[in-house]
This record gives sequence, structure tokens and C-alpha cells, in this order.
Amino acid sequence: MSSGTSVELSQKNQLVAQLLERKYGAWLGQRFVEVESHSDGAVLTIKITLRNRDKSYVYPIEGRIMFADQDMTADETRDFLMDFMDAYIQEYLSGGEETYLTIDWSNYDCDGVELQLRGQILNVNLEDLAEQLINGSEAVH
Amino acid sequence: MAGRLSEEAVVQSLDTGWQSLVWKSKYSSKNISLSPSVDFTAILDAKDPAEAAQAVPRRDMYLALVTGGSEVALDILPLLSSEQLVTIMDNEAWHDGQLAIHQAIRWLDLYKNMDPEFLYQRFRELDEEYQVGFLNPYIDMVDEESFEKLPHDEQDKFTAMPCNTLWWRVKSGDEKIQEFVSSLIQSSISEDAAYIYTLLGMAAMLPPNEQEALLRQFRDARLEEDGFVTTEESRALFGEFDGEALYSKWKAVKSDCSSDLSVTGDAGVLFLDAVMSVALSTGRADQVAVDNVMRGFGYLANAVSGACHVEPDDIHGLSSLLSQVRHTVSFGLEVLSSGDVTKALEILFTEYPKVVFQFAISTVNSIRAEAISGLMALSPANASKLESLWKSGKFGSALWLIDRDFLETLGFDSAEVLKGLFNRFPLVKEEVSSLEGVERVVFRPLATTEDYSALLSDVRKYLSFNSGGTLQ
Repeated sequence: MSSGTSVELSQKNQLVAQLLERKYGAWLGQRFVEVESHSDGAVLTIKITLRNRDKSYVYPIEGRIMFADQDMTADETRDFLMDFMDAYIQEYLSGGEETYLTIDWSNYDCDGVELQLRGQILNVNLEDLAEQLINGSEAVH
Repeated sequence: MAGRLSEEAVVQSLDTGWQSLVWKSKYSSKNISLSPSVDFTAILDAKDPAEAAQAVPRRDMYLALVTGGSEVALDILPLLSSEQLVTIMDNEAWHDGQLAIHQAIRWLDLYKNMDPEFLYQRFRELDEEYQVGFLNPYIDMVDEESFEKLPHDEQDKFTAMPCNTLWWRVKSGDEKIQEFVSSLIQSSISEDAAYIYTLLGMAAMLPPNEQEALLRQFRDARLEEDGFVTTEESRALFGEFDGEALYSKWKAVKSDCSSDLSVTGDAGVLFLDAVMSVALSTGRADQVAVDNVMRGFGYLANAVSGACHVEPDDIHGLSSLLSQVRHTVSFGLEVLSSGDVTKALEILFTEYPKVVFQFAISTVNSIRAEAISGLMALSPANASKLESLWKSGKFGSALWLIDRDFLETLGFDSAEVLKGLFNRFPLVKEEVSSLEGVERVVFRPLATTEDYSALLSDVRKYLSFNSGGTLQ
């Protein structure tokens, strides 16, 4: 099942990123939003990443939903999952960023529709530095 | 896009004036809170802790409990008066104008966890409309005759009252609601069976939503005492205002030249805060008077919340509004007093904050009018639409229109300056940040006459025109 060509999908994702930035600009501050999505025909996965410039804050929020379980079209399924993820993002940002997702997939039920979310805040900048340090020390030894 | 990312949803977010555009204040926010702080330790150490707790104004106590967290709440909750408890419910147990029982349960469960008897006692202290309104959608009662006619599997869902002639059940599959209602009924039966018979009878028999509608009126009236005016009144604070009259009134007031008061000129302190500091340090006002003025800003933040789509229990949202209104009032105060501290003190302790706020907004309207006249030359139809949206207080739609219809013609920077100008709370461009080609303007709230000049200058620079619109 597909909800458009990869170009259309990329445009849709970009539009969603823009809308999220417009909606939550004051809370996002200097952080930006990136949206990716893919479908393997059975499962739709959407990843919304909030991140800052130096990647010391990277928060990938992932959601997935099984097409087969839903009585919805591909576009409706995508909108449904996006809405649920947006609701979480609003709760996270408006509540002082204290509402966290689990690192592994957790099940949610929304109006009888089952879906899963996961997310973990990363400091990619620090991880990169640590990796450089380890690689550097290995090179010395 | 549909749903939460639809045009309507984004326009509503833009309409808040504080949630969508990126803004940060240059000024210190220490000692700024929605209400004076409450000393819980002093209350608990008092000779009569209940009396000390109940002496705290209702909303101050509510805000202190919410910001203090549940650890503090557990010690203080048993000491609250019924009016203070009702204030918690008025703020917490509603969402989008509807009763939200889960929020109420969150608070009432704290009592239940202390002692089930507490749940009965405190629930009974709520307004009758609350008691019935909470249970009304969830209670089903049948008499013996009706009960006997039910199939066995249905009968199993009912519980007999002590008289064994009436049966009740919870009409909801929600476990939290079931547990709460069951606990309430059990604890009430053991304390005062007559009460629970009457309550369940009313909850089951009264037409749906009747009590909720009645309760909404009482709640709105109580919230209005804390400054939460109707949405229409809230929107009016951003509308037409005769700024000239107020300006002339204060211009005619002669400053007390004998005093040599001045603010320190600390760039990190709002003019408003500097004036308050002078009031305290020179003995022109005592702490109580300053606290009252500060409380006035809290009321003003509450008053604009209706227009800004912020619920009374949204502490983060209200704090953002407080920050915005303080910047706006500081600007208005500086203009009205021409920076004269003595006059500013007199204004601050004479005029309501909302009047100075409305004056400040009306002052910025001259730049908005100038921008519209400049845009008329570019695109008369869209400029007229923008003017109409601004004048009818549809700031979210105005910002959406700028993005949709002016971005291409004016370019990114100009469109962003316009968005700051037509934002519900006027914003001035501070800096542009970018990430991998995506640019974003960071704004600052308009708070000084310098900000006003910068905004005017930006509008003229980016829109390439120059006429009228000078600050008085």
C-alpha cells in the first residue's frame, strides 16, 4: 500500500515539518523539525525528529501503525498516526518537556486503533566526540 | 493536511500570540510569578495550620499547590477550605469548557489515598452541581422491578444499595471512573447513607448535562473574579482603544521636579521592574502595594488568556502570557511617562495594568496602519484582507495570510517582520538562525521605545516606504 510517490511523500513530510515548526515555534526555540516516513506495505512508520544545530539535543519520536488492522485508507492512516504523534509533541513541549516516551516500542490505543510509539533524547554531539576520543586512543595504542 | 495539522489548527496556534513565533526576552524574569509565593512551611508550623492555609487567597493557593507538586499537596490538601477545593476543581476539572472527570479524579484520589473517609467528606463539600455533574453521565440506577427484568449477565453489573430495593452501576468501561465512583459510594454509604441515596437519585434522574451547564455559569463567574473574563472581553483588550486621550491626560500631569528619582539603566531589567524597585527603595510604596500591582499583572495575564487560547490550569501558558503582557505594559508605561520615573510610579499605582496594556497595543497600531498603507501599493486586495483580519482581531489568520500571500512577493525577512508586527503581542526581529538552509527569525517582545523605533525602522526598510507612523 502506498500513499504517493517518494517525491510526493518527501514533500508531504517537509510540509508537516513546516507546520509543526509554525505551530510550536516558541517552544522549539532554536530547534528544528525533520520528518521521515516509510511504508513496507504492511506497516507505516513515521519519524519526527526535533533537533538543535550542534546535535547536542536530538529527539527522534517514532510512531508505527499496521495497515491491515485499520479500516482506513493509506492517507487516513498516515493522518491518524501524525495526529497522535502531534498530540504527544504538544504534551511534551507544553508540559515543560517532562513527558517522555519509552526507549522501546510501547502500545497505545486511540479510539480503538492500536499504534506504537518510541523515543529517546540523544546527545549526538557528545556521542560523536566520545567516538572520536575512543578512535583516537585506539590509534595511539 | 487534516486534523491537528490542518490550516485551522495552525491558525489557532498562530492566534495565541505566544506559541508559534520564536521569541525570547532580553530581560530578567526572576521574581516574576503568576501570584505571590505561599510559604507552606510557615503554614504547617503555624499554631492553627488550617486557619493559616485557609487565609491564603484561593487562586494563590491553587497555583502554589500546582507548582509545588504532589509532595507538598499531600500535606496541605487536608487543610484547605471548601472554597479553595472548589477553586482547584474550577481550574483543573474542565477542558474546552466541558467537565473533565479524569482531572477531578486525579485530585480527589489524593484524598482517597489519605483516607477513604476524606474522599466522602471533601466530595460532599463541593458545590452540589459538581457532585451531581461528576456522577450524572456515569450512574445508572434501577428499582427492584426493573432489576428483575434484566438478563442475569446484566444484573451482575449492578450493585445493591443497603435497602436491597435499588441497584446501581457505573455506565463506563473506564477503570479509573469505575474505581472512583465505587470508592465514593462505598465510603459515603458507611458515613451517611441518606446522602448517597439522594446524590445517586439526582445523578441518575436529572437530564444529561443540565447540572454541567448550570455549573459552567457558576464556574465562569468565579473565574471572572480572578480575571478570567469572557473570550469576547479578552479579545477586546487587543482591539480599539483611545490611546490619545490617555496620553494627553498623563502628558498634562506635571512631574514632581523636586524628586530626583531615576532607574539604574540596567539593560537586563524592564523599565516596569526598575520603577517598582525605585518604589520600594525610596519608600514610595510598601511591599503590600507592590504585591498588589504584581497581582494586577497576573490578573491581566488571566484576562488575555481567553483570546490567547490558554486554559486557566495551563501554568506554562499563563506564565508566557504574563511575560508578554509585562513587556507590553512596560512599553506603554515608558511612553506614557516619557521615561520619567516619578510619573511612571504615579501611573503604575493609578491606572489598571490593562489600561496601560491597551494603550501600548494602540500605539503599535500606528505602525500596523502604516504597513497596511504600504502593502496597498503592492497588493491592494491582500492588504485589505490583512487590514480586515487585524481590525477584527483575527491575528492568527493575519499571520497565515502573510505567509501564504506575501512571502513570495516580499521575501522571507520582510514577511517575518510583518508577522512580528501583526502578531497578537507585537514582536521585534532580534536575529535569524538557520540550519542546513532553513532559516528562522527569533523575535523579542516589544518592551521599550527603542524596540518601537526598531520595529518601525524594520517595517520601513523591508517594505521600502516611508510615511507617517511616528511615535508621539
